[in-house]
Amino acid sequence: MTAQVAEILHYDSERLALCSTPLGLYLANNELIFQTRDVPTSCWRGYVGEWEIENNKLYLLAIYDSEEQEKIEVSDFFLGSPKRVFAHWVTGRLRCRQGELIKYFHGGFGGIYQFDLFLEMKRGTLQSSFMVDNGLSTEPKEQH
Amino acid sequence: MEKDEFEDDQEFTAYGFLKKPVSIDEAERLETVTDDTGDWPAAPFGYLWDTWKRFLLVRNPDSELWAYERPREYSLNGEILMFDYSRGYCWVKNGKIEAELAVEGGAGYPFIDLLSDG
Repeated sequence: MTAQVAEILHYDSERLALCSTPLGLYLANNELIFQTRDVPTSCWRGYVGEWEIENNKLYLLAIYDSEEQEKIEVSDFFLGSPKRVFAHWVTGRLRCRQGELIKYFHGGFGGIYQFDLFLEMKRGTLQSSFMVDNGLSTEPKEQH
Repeated sequence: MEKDEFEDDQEFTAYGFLKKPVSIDEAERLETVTDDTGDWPAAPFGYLWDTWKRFLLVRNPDSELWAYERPREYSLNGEILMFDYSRGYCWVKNGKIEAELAVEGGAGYPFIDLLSDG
């Protein structure tokens, strides 16, 4: 498996690479699969979700095709045709990679980057966050 | 319930993690999603309302609704196992899980893909 394209997360005025797939539970529950055309090996899930955390709540803003060329409005997928979707089903630890790639891993989100920002979510709401320095960093990274 | 009672149910996330039987009304009350934006329908289960309704339709006669919760990390035979956190509901009949619905989880274990093939 090739290393997978990350999701997009807007948080604290930054665009982050989200190495988690929060949409997966919703898609699985509804038996939805993104296979609209040839899916590249770098994106087996067939889509890239764009998310934001605002007022500590996680929202899905848009879904793109696997090459991030075509945008799919979330209103096409969710009850009530919302402009953004509060991801109330998300509980667990989201991981955002940051900095330079230290060690490539040929699969999933397994590559090791300078920093990992972990976001602890409970029912779609941010509870806490912490940063892990994976080494080889040359400058300090502010802790959230 | 004890894990051994569900030997044939291991394909279910809920296997070994059933918590207690609940009524449909109780589940819908517990799963009410609240937020101050009003961007989503004010129904139990939020955007999973349709999914919940479909889950209710697959109930077999005499099946019982159970809540389940699988923690992100747990110990089995002295070994620490790590998975995606998952919480939801199951239809259980005669001690067997017949269907399940996850309503909470989805963050994923950050490094789970290291275990993937390829």
